[in-house]
Formats: sequence, C-alpha cells, structure tokens
Amino acid sequence: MSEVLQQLIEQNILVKGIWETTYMTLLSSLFAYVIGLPLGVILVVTDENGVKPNKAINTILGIVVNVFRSIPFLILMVAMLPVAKLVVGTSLGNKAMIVMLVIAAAPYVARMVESSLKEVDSGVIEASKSMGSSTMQIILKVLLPEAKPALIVGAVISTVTVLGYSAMAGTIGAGGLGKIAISFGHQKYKDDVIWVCVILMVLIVQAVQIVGMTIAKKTDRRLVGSKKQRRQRKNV
Amino acid sequence: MIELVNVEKTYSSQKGDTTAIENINLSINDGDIYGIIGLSGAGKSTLVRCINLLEQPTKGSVIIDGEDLTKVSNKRLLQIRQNIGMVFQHFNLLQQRTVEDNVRFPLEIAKKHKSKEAKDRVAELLQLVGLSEKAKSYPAELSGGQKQRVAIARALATSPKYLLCDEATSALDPQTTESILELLKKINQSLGVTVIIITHEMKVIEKICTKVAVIDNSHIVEMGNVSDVFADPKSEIARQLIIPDLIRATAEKTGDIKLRLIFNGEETDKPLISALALDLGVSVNILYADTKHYNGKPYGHMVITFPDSDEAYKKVTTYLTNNHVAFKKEL
Ligand SMILES: Nc1ncnc2c1ncn2[C@@H]1O[C@H](COP(=O)(O)OP(=O)(O)OP(=O)(O)O)[C@@H](O)[C@H]1O
Ligand SMILES: [Mg+2]
Repeated sequence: MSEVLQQLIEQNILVKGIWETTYMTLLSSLFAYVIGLPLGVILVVTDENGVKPNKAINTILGIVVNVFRSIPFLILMVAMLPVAKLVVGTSLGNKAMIVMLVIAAAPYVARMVESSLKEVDSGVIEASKSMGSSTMQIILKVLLPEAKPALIVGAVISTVTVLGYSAMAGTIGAGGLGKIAISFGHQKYKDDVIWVCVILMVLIVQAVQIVGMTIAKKTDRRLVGSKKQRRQRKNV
Repeated sequence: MIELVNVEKTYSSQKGDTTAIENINLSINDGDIYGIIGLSGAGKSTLVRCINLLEQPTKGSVIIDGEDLTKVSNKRLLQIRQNIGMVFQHFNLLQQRTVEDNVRFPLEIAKKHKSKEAKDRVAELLQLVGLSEKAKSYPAELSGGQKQRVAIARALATSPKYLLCDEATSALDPQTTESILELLKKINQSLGVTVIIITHEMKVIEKICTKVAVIDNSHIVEMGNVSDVFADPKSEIARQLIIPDLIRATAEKTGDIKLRLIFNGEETDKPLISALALDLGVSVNILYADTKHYNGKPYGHMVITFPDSDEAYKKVTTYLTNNHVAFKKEL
C-alpha cells in the first residue's frame, strides 16, 4: 500500500469520496428523472401511434433530445458551465456538477422512459380508452404503472450511467471518487489508489443494480413463479 | 339503440388508402345479441371500433340513444364510453393489477371507486363471472378463459347498457368458448345488456345471437334474424360461413331431388329420416348433415336426396311441413 493511499484512508478522504460520488449520482439521477420522465412520457404520448399524436411537439422534442444525447459528455459539461452558474450561482464544485450531470442525463432518461413505456401493450391502452379514460388517466393509471418494472430497470441503468459521468466530472472540478482517482492516483502515479477507486465504484454499481433489480422483480406481477407468490399459493 | 348511418372508414398512409368499411347501415335494438360475422380482413374490428369511436369514421354517423357520437365533445364522448363496455380477443387486462383492481379500474376512470357501492359492485361482478376466489390473483396466474371472465366483469363495472365483444372467444378452446358464450347470454338476459359480438365463427352466432349481419369485403352483404339468415343464406359468403360443406354436397348434378332441411330449434318428435323411408316409402339418402343439439333442440342443416318424381316430392314436403321442418330445394 502506498503512502498516498494510507493518507487517503487515514484522513477519511476516501470515505468522503464515496459519499460525494454517491450523493452526486443519486441526486443527479433524481433530478434527471424529474425532467426526463415527463419528457419521455410526452415523447410516447405525442408519437404518431401514441394516445394523443402531435407531430410538431414530437419532432421538436425528439430533435432536442437527440442533440443533447449526441454531444460527448465532457464537451457538454464545458458548454453548460454558464447554465450551471445561472442555476446554482457558481460553475465550480459539486453543486454545479450536479446541474451538468442532470443536463447530460435528462435526455438519456427521456429515451429510457420512452422505450419502457412503448413496451406497454397497445391493447391495454385501447381497453382503457374504451372505458372512457382521458389522456392523463391513461398516463397515470396505465402507462406508468404497467411499465413500472421496465422503468425501474431503466432507472438502474441511468443511475449507473450518471455514476460514470460523475467520475468523468472529476476531471473538471467535481469531487468524489473520480477526482481522487485522477488527482491522487493518475497524477501522482499511484496505481493502487486508482484500483481502490475502481473497486469502490464497481461496488457502488453492484449495490445499485442489486437493489434496483430486486425491486423490479419483486414488483413485477407478470412473473408468475416468484417465490412470494408461490408461497402464498401454497398457503391458500 | 345503436344506429350506424352510412359509416365509412378509410385509413390513409403513404402507400395509399385502404377502405376498411364502407356504406355501413345497421340498427341494433336494445336487448339484442347482435352478431357481426365475416372473414379475416372483412372489416369487423373496424366496424365495432367505430361504434365507440375508438376509430373515428371518415364518413357517416354513429347514433347511440339519439346522440351522434361523431358530433359530441371529447368530454361527452368519454362519458358515453362508460356506457359501452368492450371485451377483446386478447383480454387486455392490466398485468400489474390484481383481478379485483382490474374490475375496479373503470370505476376509477369514472371517479366512482371510493364508495362502498364500488366495493360491493366489484365483489358482485366477480361473483357473476364465477371468480370470487381469484380476487387477489394477478392476470398472469389465470387461464385464458378466466382472463376473459375478468375482462367481462371489468367491462360491466360501470353498468353499461351496451357490451361490444371483438372476437372475445377466438383465443379460447371450444369448451371455454361455450362457457363464455353462456356467460354473455346470462348477462344479456339477467342484466338486459345489449351485446354486440364480432366473430368469424358461425357457431358463436348460432349459439347465442338473435340478429346477425354478414360483412364481406368492407360491406354488409346480408342481415336479419339469425334464424332467417341461417335458414336461407342468400349471399355466397354467408353460405360459405354457415354451411361450408353444403356447397360441395350440392354441387354435383345427379338428376335427383335435393332438399335442404333447416333445423332452427323446432323440435321434431319422430326420427325424421326413418319416418320418411318407412312411413312414406321414399328412399331417402343423406348427402350432408350438420345438426347439433342446444338445450335439447336441433339446429343445423341436412341435405337429403331422393329420386325425382312429383309424387315423392309432394309426399316428402307435406310431411316436412306437417312436422314444422323448414326446407329448401337445392338445384
Ligand atoms: N390502423 C390501420 N391502418 C391501416 N389499415 C388498417 C388499419 N386497421 C385495419 N386496417 C385494414 O382494414 C381492413 C379491415 O381490417 P379489420 O381489422 O377491421 O378486419 P377484421 O374483419 O377485424 O379482421 P380479423 O378477423 O383478421 O380481425 C384490413 O384490410 C386491414 O388491413
Ligand atoms: Mg378483427
């Protein structure tokens, strides 16, 4: 173990790094969903086969999302520094990074939500229309609840992506494990620091995946053979 | 009452226009079990979807109890739809909701789910379709027939006056089909719901419908009381649907007389063929027979043939008339 790594551990820098990475990732993902989820819903609803087709809105929104998605993350970050300043008053530090992560992740989330909602059986939507559902009722009572397992899986993937972004953000001023790996490991040629950071990131990713996938599976009512249901059936 | 007046639906796409239905004029009286039959692609689904405006007709009016649905506001349309239940071939249940929550769903849409009555209504409907003990199950845990029962219960939740069924039994085996048809009949008789059934199977019409419209190639080619259409199908397509083998049976020219006997529930107390042969002394051959018994009454067709003579013809037809068996001479 190198001296640098020892110092990082003793001065609790590593623990702080874990915490920073975790909260930046979770908070950014959360806000990315606050923006991306409605956008994804609008993309599906206004699609030409959607509940309320609207070509203009669908095309414009589609283009905006695609533009943001096709800009490489680092370039987007730099370009969006003024926006961060506008929103949180500074273009430096973790707060500003969260704004950029949200900007980068929201379009990604929108597409993720879109593809999850498109999996909902059109017959079910048709049935709810036949009962007199309004567009809003279809969104809230059919699309989102029926797509819940896919949405949760999508949230896991999005969160992991944001985690990756947050590590990259370490190169331009954000804190967290990414920054530690770069400024202590890479720049001081301490391979063990890099490896520790990598392993910690992998562990965080694993934790997110296990929690998310378990929830997705547990709550998916299409899976007949789940343990809980088998147990319930036995008791009947 | 449901009235379709000159209804037409044309789908436009880059590849060109497809007219799915055209010139549809149809009246469905309250209390009817109205069957709409036709081959695949004839336009049946389009027709039924025009009734609740899931498909906006390109021409014509859809008048339900005096109100033209093509002219009402969107808000009013949503209300009217609560009065028209619909059942689908593939059930279309909400997979993430339990059986009882599926049945409660239309009440939620109508914002009537919080009352005590709503709770009772759900229980009552599950009872009606015989699935009370499955209330807490999820659709994935049910058989096809059970899923369709849930779908029917759901369609009835808001006590609609009309029930549209688009191929409701096409995904089910014959036995399950029977039981679902029985259920639909019960709903019609005990709740007074007017039922509209889309199907490509004659046996569905035969079994429960009172009226039928035959649709072919976007047009209604024949309609009327089931017993009349059944007894004497005029259009080629109706003949094909009703008595597919009959056409083959009667195609051959033999010089003998061919009579098609039509059984539509009138009971015959004597074994008919042996009576013809023994009592009348006419040597009768059976060319084709497709008769079934529902509730102990015979339905179906039989084609008999006997040597051409005025005397035999008179004897046989008199006998048939006296015994209330409808018949038609085939060429
Ligand atoms: N959304 C659509 N866009 C374009 N054409 C359509 C659409 N829906 C139906 N059609 C066409 O309209 C015609 C009638 O279709 P419809 O679904 O009403 O037939 P159907 O009698 O219900 O057939 P099936 O028994 O196979 O369900 C077909 O030629 C079909 O290709
Ligand atoms: Mg169809």
